[in-house]
Amino acid sequence: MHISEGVLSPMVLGAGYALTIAGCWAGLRRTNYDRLVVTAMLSAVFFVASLVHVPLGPGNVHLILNGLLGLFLGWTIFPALLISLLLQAILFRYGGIACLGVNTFDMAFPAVICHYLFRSWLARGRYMRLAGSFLCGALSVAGAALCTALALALTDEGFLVSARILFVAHLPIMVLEGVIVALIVSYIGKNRPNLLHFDAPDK
Amino acid sequence: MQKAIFGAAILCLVLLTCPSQEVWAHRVNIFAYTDGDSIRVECSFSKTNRVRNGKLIFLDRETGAILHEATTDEDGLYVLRPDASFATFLASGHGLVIRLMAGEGHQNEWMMEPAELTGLADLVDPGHVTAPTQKSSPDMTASLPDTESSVPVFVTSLDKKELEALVARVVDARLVPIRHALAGQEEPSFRDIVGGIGWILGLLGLTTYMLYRSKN
Repeated sequence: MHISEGVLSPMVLGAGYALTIAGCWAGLRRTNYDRLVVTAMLSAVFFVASLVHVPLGPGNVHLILNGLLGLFLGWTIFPALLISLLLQAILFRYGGIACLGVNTFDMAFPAVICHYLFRSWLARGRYMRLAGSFLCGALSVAGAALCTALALALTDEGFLVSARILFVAHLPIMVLEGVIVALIVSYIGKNRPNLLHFDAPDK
Repeated sequence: MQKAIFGAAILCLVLLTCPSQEVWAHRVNIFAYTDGDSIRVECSFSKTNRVRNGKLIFLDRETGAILHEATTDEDGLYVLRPDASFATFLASGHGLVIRLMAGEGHQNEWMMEPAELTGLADLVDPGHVTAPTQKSSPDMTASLPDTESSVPVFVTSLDKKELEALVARVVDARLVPIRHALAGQEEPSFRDIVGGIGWILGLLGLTTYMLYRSKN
């Protein structure tokens, strides 16, 4: 999901930075500073998750977990992802500094939308909580794939071709992340249900 | 319920075995080196997953001019044998940039210094012998004193340039594994991962400290 340096046009890179700055501003305004440790922990989880390769089939897949961050953090996912992606770009040379804005927006914005779509499901009983968290994990990845395809299409690659390839390739990750997010939320719902109360930070 | 879980597990496995791995890769790797009279380019997403049909563009590093375009094969390889059309570029003493475009936002470049290309410049120079060869002639063997053995004795002669080209070729071949090892060191190390987590926790501490100070 990391777009490399030199692929996107300056206009797309600039737009990516502008949208990410706006997202970070919204995120910092809405941050519940009592949950700062949770934010940092989830940022670290995202930083490490993409390094965890799960061997499956002929190759292996790696996790993204933007849905998990989006579900718990809402708009605060923007600064959390920005820091993680910046460190990945510096330490691992994943993506790059120039396309940091686009990469952050691609993965954060769909997760914010999923947060608002599914957060209320978490309070509606066990099955709705499982379904909501699964859909949040899966659709956040799908949205990230579509945003990436859109960024590529605005440069020189065809949107439909890129979107189809990215969407089909990410289908297994969507399912996998949906299951992982559902399991994590189910565990937290039993042991730390107060973490699933989102009404305080996002009014 | 158990049937549903079993079905979901089967679906997961089927989906996970379907698509190619290229799109999941963090980045694409490119590695190039001179090998005798050619430039070998190796492209991969990981140690086991090669870039198939990736687009390669060979550029003059100084002028940005496109010298050659190609695609990688099924093993992520491409071998460029510079012909006479490369003579002007190689004679200019400029470096070479090899750009790999693997699609879906994956792109990387490999730089080759002019010093790495000097051997090729000698080879494509029309006025120069293309490779060091063994020279032998019947006259030379005939002039040798007779020995009890009937095996003819060949005498090899190399001029200075041929000897340099030969040594450069052997050294290049010996250096390939070392270059490979150096290129492979770009994979994330445990130290980098722990360092990244440390940065995040450090930022958390700094933010907490600033909030604490602002409240007091």
